Amino acid sequence: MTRLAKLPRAEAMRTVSPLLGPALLVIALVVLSTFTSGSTQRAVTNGLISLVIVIGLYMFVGTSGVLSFGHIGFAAIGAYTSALLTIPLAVKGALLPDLPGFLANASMDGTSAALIAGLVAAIVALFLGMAVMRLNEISIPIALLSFLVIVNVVASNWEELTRGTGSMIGIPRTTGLGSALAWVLVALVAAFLFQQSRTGLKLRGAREDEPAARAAGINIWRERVIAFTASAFFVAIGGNLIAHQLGSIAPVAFYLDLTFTTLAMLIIGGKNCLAGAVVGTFVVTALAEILRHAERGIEVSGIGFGATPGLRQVGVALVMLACLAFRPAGITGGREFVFPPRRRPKRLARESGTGEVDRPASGSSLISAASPPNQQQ
Amino acid sequence: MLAVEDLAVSYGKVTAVKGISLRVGEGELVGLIGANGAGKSTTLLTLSGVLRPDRGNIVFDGKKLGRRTPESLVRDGLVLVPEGRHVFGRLTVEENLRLAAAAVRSSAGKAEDLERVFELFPILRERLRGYAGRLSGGEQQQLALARALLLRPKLLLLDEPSLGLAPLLVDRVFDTVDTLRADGATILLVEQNASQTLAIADRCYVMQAGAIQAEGTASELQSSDVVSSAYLGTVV
Repeated sequence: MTRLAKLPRAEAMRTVSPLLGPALLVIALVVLSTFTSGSTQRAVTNGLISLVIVIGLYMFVGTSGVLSFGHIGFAAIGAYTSALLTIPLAVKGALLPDLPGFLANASMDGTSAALIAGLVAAIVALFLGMAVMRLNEISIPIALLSFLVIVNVVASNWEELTRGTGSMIGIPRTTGLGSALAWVLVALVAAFLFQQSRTGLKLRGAREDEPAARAAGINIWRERVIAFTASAFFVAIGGNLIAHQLGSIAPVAFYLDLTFTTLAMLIIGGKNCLAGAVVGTFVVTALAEILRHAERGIEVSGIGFGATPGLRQVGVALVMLACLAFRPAGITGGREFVFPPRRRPKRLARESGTGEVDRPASGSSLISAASPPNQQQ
Repeated sequence: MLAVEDLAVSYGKVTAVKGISLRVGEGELVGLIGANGAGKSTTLLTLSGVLRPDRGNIVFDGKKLGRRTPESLVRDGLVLVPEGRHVFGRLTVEENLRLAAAAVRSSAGKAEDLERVFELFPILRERLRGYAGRLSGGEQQQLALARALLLRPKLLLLDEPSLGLAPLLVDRVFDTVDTLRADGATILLVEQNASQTLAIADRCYVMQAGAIQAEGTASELQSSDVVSSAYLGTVV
């Protein structure tokens, strides 16, 4: 129905601006950060990695409207898969002597390992989704939380594969500003195309009005499974980036803390739009960074307080509470970045269009229920 | 097109529909009228696969319908426009229409479908890029109908399309339904608004307390007092 080439230029711009806006914002931030210190650059890299995860989360949570407490399980799967595929063979032999043969001898470059990590998570998500997406939208987040617990317990106890609760070390530290940015851009494009796709459109429809969606022939289960699978792929890529940034991982890094942080990013930004994922990640990363410094103690012109451990988590949680209370649709209000802005239709044009004054949609059924039915004489 | 036999539906222990039978022929506009709580909407929801019947047979387009989901029935051409103007509020009008068109497998003739819908509802073309939630009630009803038409229905089930609209718009809804029938659509129209339904329908069923009280053409029903008694509750 819509072909970009056929649209007037302003309209074509509006169509792609939800992608270009966030992408340019991210690129600008990265370019700016190259002029700063190493520690700031590391913070920006952290933010970019979170963004890959949050965009992945958005592909399911944002388009379907169903929350998930389990996606970080895919980040764990991505991180461990990629680690097992890239740790140098000599280190791996010493570290994990009981690995099955095909893993013990696997050694590949970072990009292939990342893609395989994403695929492994996507396959797990496909089967998990086929079972879980039959549930209603209240039960799905709880079921996915159970999945997170299972992944955590397995990772903590499968000594042969993960070294249990001990750290997996020797992972090549290949994640930098550049590779994190590249994956953010890939994820942004994918999420943008996804939300414009048939599946994305159908899911956003179902998010608005489930009965109407079913009446329009939408198989909600099927669309949710597709979104869940695609979303798990990018969350796993994010997990893989974490592994290659830190160089060592442990199951605890992929559990409730990261779950909360990434969900906070999406919700604070506005979970119903791609712009929300980007804005939320930016705001929470900046806030967390400031509070992390404050945790060590602050002193401004003689007045200050000492070290306050936990300030970061409490601060982010308070912002999330405030957001839920005062701006439940998030900072962006669930609206995509659209440029140039669209003029509101003029009231006059609206009335000459329909010819009559109409009752507003809300409350109208009440009015009709109160009035007596028409009678036949 | 549609033949229903001895259909019974209940919500838990409450029986809402007590063994009704009805028939809709190809190209017919059939009304199902009755007061609040007569079981009209329950009947429609069951026909469209949202609710499960306790017993009874539904034959649609020559096929017996068993346990089918609403979405699979839509693909076979049994399309419900639910009560209360369900539009996807935070999607644009265009996205609402694209969504419906996406459910149709073959891409042939989609542009013509859209043109026809715009002919019927010119306001939608003007509002194409606006959010559906910003439309007035009457416009939302038009959008809901437009979406249903894009699904290429063989049988259109309309659940109280005039509900909650200003009187002038109610007239327009009935005009639209009449136009669709003239175009050859097969429609089962559920309404509380008996007089206007009788005026355009080929035949009507009068429903009361979960059962069908009467059936006939407009003139047959108007000459008896079964319609007014169905609404007022007097004994025939």
